[in-house]
Amino acid sequence: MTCAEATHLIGPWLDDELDVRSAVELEGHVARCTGCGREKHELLALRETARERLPRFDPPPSLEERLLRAVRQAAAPRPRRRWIREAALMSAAASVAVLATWSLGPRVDQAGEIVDAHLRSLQAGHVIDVASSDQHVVKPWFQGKIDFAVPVHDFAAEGFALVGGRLDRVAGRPMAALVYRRREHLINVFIAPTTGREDLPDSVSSRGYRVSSWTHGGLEYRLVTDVPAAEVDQLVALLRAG
Amino acid sequence: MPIALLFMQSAQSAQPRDVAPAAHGRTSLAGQTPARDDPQPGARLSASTQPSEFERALREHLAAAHHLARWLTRTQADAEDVLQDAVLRAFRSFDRLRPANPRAWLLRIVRNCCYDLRERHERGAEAALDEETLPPDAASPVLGLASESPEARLLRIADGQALEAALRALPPEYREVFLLREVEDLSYKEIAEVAGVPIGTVMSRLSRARAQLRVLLAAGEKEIA
Repeated sequence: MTCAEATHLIGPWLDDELDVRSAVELEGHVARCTGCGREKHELLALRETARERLPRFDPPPSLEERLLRAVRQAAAPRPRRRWIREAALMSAAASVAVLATWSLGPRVDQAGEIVDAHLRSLQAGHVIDVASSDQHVVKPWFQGKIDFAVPVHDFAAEGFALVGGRLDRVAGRPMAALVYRRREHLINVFIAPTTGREDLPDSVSSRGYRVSSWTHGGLEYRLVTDVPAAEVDQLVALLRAG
Repeated sequence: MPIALLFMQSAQSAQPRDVAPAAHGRTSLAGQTPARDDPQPGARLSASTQPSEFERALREHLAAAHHLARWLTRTQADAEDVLQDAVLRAFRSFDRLRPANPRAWLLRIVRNCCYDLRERHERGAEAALDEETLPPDAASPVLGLASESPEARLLRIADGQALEAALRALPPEYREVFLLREVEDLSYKEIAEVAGVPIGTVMSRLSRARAQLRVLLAAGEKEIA
């Protein structure tokens, strides 16, 4: 066995991936050859350092519980159409509006569902689950509650203050909702992983509310508010850049 | 070239991401192309076997999964985001795939989620790994570099902080192979499964990673920085 042959086999040999006959032959060569003997010592030293001196990143104690909670939540049966029942409990006029949008085309239909969710959040007084203007509070709050990482940014400096976030369900899909305030108007931004099925319209108006939709980084965004269009576009641009 | 290696039968080379093959995998999945994770609620699992069996596997392999995620992402927060994503993906396909080797299977999903995150961060700007990134002639540094005494070289190799810095300087495809072998003690076959490459590629990446690490360690800290 030459050194050129041996040197390629020393790694697999130390990894216990060599067949017995080659291992015996290699062992003989390494015992006689200074260069290959050093190669073996260096690889063993490298392994020892890797095993004993590299930082070992142990999971934080709370991580296992958080992950298991997320799994159990995902395992729970989903009330897919619960929002329809909720909608039925709303005022008669609103119910009529739901039914009206239901019969229209898919685009308006979807915008209608978004507007419904927006109205529901205002009417039920259930705008936020986590009240904070701190994105570092809101973002981790979603962890374990929804199965994707929610990008959260505060744009108070630009006049869109982050108020908080909540979990919502639109058309049977769990979504993260971020809530911003512009003067006395509230803005809901619904976020969910993209399904690739939707053909998202840029913006649609429904019942006096404007719904802006876009996808970014594998996520679908739907922003709904009664803030004037020019200002909405400003927030959309901020969110898309964020 | 090594001709007498065990387990040289080619591993699965071009599998779709996310879908971890079972370790001895052709038993339960014979002839069946595994689909991507199915987001449909219809694919949800029966409550009888879930989630206890999955939870047991998760508890058992969480430390390894976290360790890998930490090495393949930049921050603890990124690692935890990735783990959450990976664990839910894993959960959704666990019942369907019944992985024979849950550790390799989970690590594979974690690994793929880390690469997905990297792609998102870099907007796909970085091309796929060029297998020639590390020169193959670095394969025998001991024979090639005789400028330092063997003892001095061994001392440098024993420096954990220097090794960490060198490891972070490697392309992640090399870093992961080294860590899975040396720290997690996975076999070539398992590493091939985690990384989704043939065993031959595992061998050449591992050999280059070891060689390059020693080149970096011999070059000293200033070169790495």
